[in-house]
Amino acid sequence: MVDVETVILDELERLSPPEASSAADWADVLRRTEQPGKSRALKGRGLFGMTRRTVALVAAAFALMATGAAVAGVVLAKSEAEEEQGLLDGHSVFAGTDPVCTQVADGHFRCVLDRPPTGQGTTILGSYRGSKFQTVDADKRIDGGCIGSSDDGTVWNCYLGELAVEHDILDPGVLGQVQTEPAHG
Amino acid sequence: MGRDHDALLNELEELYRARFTDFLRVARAIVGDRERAVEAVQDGFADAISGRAGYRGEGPLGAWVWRAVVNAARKATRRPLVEARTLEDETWEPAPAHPEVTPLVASLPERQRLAIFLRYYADLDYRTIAQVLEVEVGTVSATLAAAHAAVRSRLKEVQLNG
Repeated sequence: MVDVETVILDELERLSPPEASSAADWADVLRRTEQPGKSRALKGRGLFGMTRRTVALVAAAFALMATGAAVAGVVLAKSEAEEEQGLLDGHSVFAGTDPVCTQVADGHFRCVLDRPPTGQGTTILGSYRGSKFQTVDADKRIDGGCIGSSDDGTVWNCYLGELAVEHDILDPGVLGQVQTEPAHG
Repeated sequence: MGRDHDALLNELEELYRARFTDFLRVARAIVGDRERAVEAVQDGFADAISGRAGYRGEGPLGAWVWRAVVNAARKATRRPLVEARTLEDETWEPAPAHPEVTPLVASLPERQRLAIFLRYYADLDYRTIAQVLEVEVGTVSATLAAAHAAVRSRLKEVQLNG
């Protein structure tokens, strides 16, 4: 008679064999958090943790470079009252995705969604990795941007100001410009 | 009283270095390929570091981190476990001795799969598995028993047909 545990062990051995070489990289873990002492979870809060002002996000150039996907841009506004409640409003590009945004460094946030952003006409065909969108402040001036960090669209790294330029999300000179209307890709 | 954050960071690093391959095996079984499994382990630990202020020491640190890694792996996959393995995967092994079992393990309910992975890859005890899966210890026992029964039933079925 076959021992069930032995059978399971045999099959698990094939499903995920032992590692011949270790890919352990603690430095990489720390890089993903960057200055962990400053980290703080921002579940359900505004993308950049702004607490006193109205937040507006413009999903403008989503995925244009990396995927070539067609994306409808949208203007996304959030009232101060909603912000005070610590809620992402129903019009956010991350709306309905249960975002958890963690500040990993000054001007750098990492947002994990439970599903890819699909609201407000945002549509991505193929991988979200490398997809980008810019963010604007309450005056609709471009003040940063986010880049997709996973194929399935659930992980985004967002940067404020010059950091967004340094990470090739925004072109130099775009910062501070007024986003008159959403771009369409 | 919570642990000092720096001390907790050191403990996390020790756990990472000591058990990385176990974390990787479980993550790989969940997501189906090595590359995404590494990402899941890295992300899981990064999440644990970022959220360590929320660790109140109510359970073992290991269980808390396992939960972070399992959650990261679950988020990383939207594909069935077995199908995620590709021919390009350099670690593909010869056909299994019991080919009927692998698809069965993959098709078990998620909780049963996770319990099996945590039990056999990570060698976690029932109490720790319960904390990772956020269920009662008795549920872990019942879940593993159900998984065993399913495998046993499938084997018997195959032997009868063979």
